[in-house]
Amino acid sequence: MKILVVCGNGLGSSFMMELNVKKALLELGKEAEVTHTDLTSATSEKADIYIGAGDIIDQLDNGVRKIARIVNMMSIPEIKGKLAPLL
Amino acid sequence: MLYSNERRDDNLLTELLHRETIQITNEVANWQDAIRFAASPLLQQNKIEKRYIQAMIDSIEQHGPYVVLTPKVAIPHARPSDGVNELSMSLLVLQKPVYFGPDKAVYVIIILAATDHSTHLQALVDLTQVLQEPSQIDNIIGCKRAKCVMDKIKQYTTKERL
Repeated sequence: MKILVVCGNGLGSSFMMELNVKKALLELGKEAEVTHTDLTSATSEKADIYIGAGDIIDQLDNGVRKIARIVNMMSIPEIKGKLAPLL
Repeated sequence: MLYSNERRDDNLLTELLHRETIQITNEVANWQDAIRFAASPLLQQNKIEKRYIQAMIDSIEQHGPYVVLTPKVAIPHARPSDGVNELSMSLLVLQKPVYFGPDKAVYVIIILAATDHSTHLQALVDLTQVLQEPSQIDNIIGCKRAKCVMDKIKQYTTKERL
């Protein structure tokens, strides 16, 4: 299971959200490989779940990819709630 | 890159956000002005070039207000190649919110200027500790002086390491 956290530049927001995704997985008792990247790289990188802020992640939504659309990237309850059905 | 030999791998948030990089003001006209104001200390100290400010604005115009990581807080940033001279951060607290989007009211703007993909990460680990609790964000917004913001950040930053 690979989860890719995506933001515009792959430098700041996606890393901070990666920390929270890892905490969320821990609380859910699930294991997965979590990495972060920028939007451009994400379009060609394979992952089981793509997670990111709405504005960004919508651009990856091709109807096939599993997408988690996050509003509050610092909210572990929100991340847990949106990841759980996809795991 | 100015002083590459002085670069450290563990730049803590409190080392980057200090008296010279924290500002508090009443209000700004729009989100673009908020970014210009918030980044002005870094420009004055030559940590970033003027084009980095435009790059942050362009990035939001292109991708939308995703830099609003959590309610009330925006972390504008662009790429190291967009004019960063030295790893740096600055913070602006607004007494009245500026809107980055229709439902994106922001009171705290934290500028991130990274030089690569790794040296700023410890500071972001620390920042995550600060932003995880909405009450901590509200306490920072309530500050009237830079010293108060510094003290709060110090208090909320635990020793969680990479």
